[in-house]
Amino acid sequence: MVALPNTLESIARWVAETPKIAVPSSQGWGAPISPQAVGVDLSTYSGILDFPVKDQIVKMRAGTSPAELQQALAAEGYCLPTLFPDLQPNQAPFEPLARSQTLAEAVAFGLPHAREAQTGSWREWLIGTTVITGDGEIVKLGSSVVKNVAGYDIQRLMIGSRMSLGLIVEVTLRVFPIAALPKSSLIVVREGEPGAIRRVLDSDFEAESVKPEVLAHDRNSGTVWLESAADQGPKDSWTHQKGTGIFEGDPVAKWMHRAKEKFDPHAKFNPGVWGIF
Amino acid sequence: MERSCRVAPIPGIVPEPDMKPYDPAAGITTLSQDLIRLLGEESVLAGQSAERAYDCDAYTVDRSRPAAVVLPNNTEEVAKVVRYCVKHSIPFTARGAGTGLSGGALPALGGVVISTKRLTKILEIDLPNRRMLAQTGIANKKLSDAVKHAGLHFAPDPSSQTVATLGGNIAENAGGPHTLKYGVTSNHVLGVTMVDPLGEIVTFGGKHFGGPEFDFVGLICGSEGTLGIVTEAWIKLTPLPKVVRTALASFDTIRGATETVAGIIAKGTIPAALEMMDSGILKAVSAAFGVTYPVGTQALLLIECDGDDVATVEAEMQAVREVCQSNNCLDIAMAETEADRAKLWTARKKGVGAMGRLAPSIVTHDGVIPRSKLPEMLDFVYRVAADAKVGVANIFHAGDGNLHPCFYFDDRDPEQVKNVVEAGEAIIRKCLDLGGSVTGEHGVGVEKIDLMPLMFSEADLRMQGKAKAIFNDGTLCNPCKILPNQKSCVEHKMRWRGMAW
Repeated sequence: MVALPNTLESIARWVAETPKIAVPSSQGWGAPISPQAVGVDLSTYSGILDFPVKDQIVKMRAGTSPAELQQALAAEGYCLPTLFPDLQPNQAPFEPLARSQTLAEAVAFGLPHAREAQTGSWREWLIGTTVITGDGEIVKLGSSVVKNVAGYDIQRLMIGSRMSLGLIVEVTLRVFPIAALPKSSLIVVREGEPGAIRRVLDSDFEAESVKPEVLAHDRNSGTVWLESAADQGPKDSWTHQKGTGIFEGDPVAKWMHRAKEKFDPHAKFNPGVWGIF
Repeated sequence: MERSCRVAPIPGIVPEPDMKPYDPAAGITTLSQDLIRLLGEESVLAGQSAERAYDCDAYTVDRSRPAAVVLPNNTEEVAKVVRYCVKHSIPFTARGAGTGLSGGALPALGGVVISTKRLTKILEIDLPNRRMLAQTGIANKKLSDAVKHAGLHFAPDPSSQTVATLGGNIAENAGGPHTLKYGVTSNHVLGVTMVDPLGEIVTFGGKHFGGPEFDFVGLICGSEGTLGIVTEAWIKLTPLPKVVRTALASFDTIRGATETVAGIIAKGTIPAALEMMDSGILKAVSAAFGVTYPVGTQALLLIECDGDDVATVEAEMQAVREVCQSNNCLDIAMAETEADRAKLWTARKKGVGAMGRLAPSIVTHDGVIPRSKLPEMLDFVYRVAADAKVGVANIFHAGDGNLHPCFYFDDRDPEQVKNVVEAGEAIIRKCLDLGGSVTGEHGVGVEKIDLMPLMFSEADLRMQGKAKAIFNDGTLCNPCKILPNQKSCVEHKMRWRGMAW
């Protein structure tokens, strides 16, 4: 694993010169990345760049840890509205954001959380990113204001991209007042290491939440945490899979291939992480 | 004032070698008959009256006549028309109610306008899971009306919501007064069925947010109809708040109001709505509706807090009151009843309409700044208007930092028109200088294409071109929008950087 250089320009040069780059998940999420790729430790590129409280936004380097971010926000009465700051010790395994090492990783895996139904998730929070392309271009996606419809919302395509469309180096988020946090309804059935997180419709919740493999459930956001990850979970569920979740022949795979061809034509970023390219 | 875009094409965005308007005389002579054969006579409009009726949306500065207009009844019919257009190289542009303010539904190269006017069905209401499947030609408000009995609503509430369609809301990623708390349209769209630019029917998402795939729904929202034609959408339904508190705070200085806006957010309170109106609007509203405000009022803030719990909402409102008082507000009127609430909203809802009394022409701009910069920005707006010798009034989504300065003037005077154009440009440039955006909710369309390079670098725009090309690497599906790469498209006759209401 290598550390990133400490300026955007030098990162861009390094990316341009490096044939294959791996930004692995700290939790082993996603399919195995090609061993030929040079591993990057994104946490070496961290730090909050700007937090103008009155503007309700925070801009940071992508390797900033969620814990550091939440602490800085809490000092001003704000947060990312996950279980923080009410996280109980036995709930920790069920809070993916607390487990992820960097903000970019959390965005890249589109991590769900237990207050999602009431407070939204990355599509609402992520208002801008800076990304390095395979050619070493520094590209700004989105904006730094809470409302913006100028151009295509490509920052949203980075959510759940598993860092396979470009290297996310800066992240700008909309933040949420702690005082307005809704109550969590997360219930831990039995302690254990969750292998998968699934989103289920409210109408299916009764049946899904009592299955023997369920470790925890949250009615408000329709989420269940399962003991083990099925390689082929139900397509319409959010599966925090060890594998891919997407298979050749799946209609969406065609569009994912198209996106990959346009953004990363030389398959430089995280080769293998999707299993399909 | 005749001129075309001044921005040179950005190399490498999208290869578009030959972007000529579709010439019906040189094209297929049987266009109308062919479309009638595909959809039936009652679904095709042609002739001069149709051409005139569909040559622009609510952005009337640029116009371009379509060769035909079709009114399909379902997704399959939309796909048939798109495939026909692709086969014969005819440009096509989707259109909802035509309330767009940046020319998103303008058939810039002519060709076929595909109207969603008949796609008005609600296909499924899933109350337990708080979601609804609807065709996209349905008016925004009808979505909420259909589930009001169950205590739910579709949260995006653009001012045009009685007519603006779901499809138009998705295309423009529409906002509204309550998006400060509830978020813009893309936060409420779970999935879409779309006819892609080649005429294939595709679906994305549907049940939940998130999933093991790229967030294509997030990309499609706000793409102004350039990635395909969304014909059906699963939308999220939001519980109606059980408690609503509405206040109207008056200030004797603009600064008092603008400082209050940032102060409320800094205190950790996000109201459901936080709207501002200045004395120009109040003058018009008072003249039109006889409403009075405290003597000396220079600015009003309409502040609404809502939620499920009285204590929480009251605590929020108390925090709001304290910030207002610390900024020396003249008065805070609280709504006790629904009728009171409607009265307090009068200036906000009827302000723009009432401005018709002030001058023959009004142009409303749309720009965004970080809300902490509101005091500085408003000072700038008044200074620019004074220098340009035109009137200005402000009515806008202050909580979002989304400005809508309205210039009022006489468009028969070329000098005034020139001054309004220059003043508008100065304001948008200032928005960018302060770290904002060229548009918060009206979209880029054709109106703001040549402002895009002020906000984005060439590399940024190339990336946007790649995003477009995932779905649309041709030149037929709603051409000449968003990206400044198609200079032959629209000769802008008069660019006011805004829209006459």
